Amino acid sequence: MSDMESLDKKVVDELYGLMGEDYLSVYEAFERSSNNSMQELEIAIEQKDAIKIETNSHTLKGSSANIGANKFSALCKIIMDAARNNENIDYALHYNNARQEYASVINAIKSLRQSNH
Amino acid sequence: MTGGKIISDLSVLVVEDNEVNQKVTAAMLQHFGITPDIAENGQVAIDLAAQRQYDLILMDCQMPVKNGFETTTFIRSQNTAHESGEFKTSSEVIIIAMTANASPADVEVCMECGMNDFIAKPVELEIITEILNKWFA
Repeated sequence: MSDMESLDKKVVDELYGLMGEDYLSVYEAFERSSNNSMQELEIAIEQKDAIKIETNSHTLKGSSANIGANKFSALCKIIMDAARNNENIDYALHYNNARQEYASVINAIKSLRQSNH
Repeated sequence: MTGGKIISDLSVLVVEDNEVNQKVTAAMLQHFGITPDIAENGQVAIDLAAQRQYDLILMDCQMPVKNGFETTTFIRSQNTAHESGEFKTSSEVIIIAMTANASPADVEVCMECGMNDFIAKPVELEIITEILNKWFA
């Protein structure tokens, strides 16, 4: 799978249509905020802190959906729902799945920056 | 138009803690010529609403400091303060929830605390268009 498949082209095009070249600022904001949330999510999972797991996965789910990172958003939703409902899932495994997809999203954003849309 | 205002003249407040969501929602409103104010949590929204009369508030529900439900309840309770000029935004301002959880139970909570309507996240241009037309056209 190419990295660009991690971003929904329809969403990317819509943001470009709305904002022109400034659309990259949305992706840059995602890179900044998501990096912090991913670190906090990892710590929360290590500490089995359900509230922080839910808060951070909720933030990641929402912001990634806005930039068209639909698969990553769906993986965060699995973690968020489990934490919210006190489900006993393998959080570390789900986090690793999300982490893998997150890396693809970040690479896709790098490609966007280089492609001039 | 609403109250003699064209849509591009609406004063809009976006209450949203996530920077990405702030930027995307603002860009969609700017498509209609609206430059919204942004509040990163409910308390900042209340402070801004006290100083400026808003026509529309797009309100995230889950936020730090003060969530969207508490914030809406507070704004709706400011009747006397609005009449005396201490709180500029009317307690009858249109407040639209932006929620990722659009289940009937969640919608009921939004309505119970005084929100007028809700939109599901992620926010899309088509949905913003529908909301502006529904409440202000």
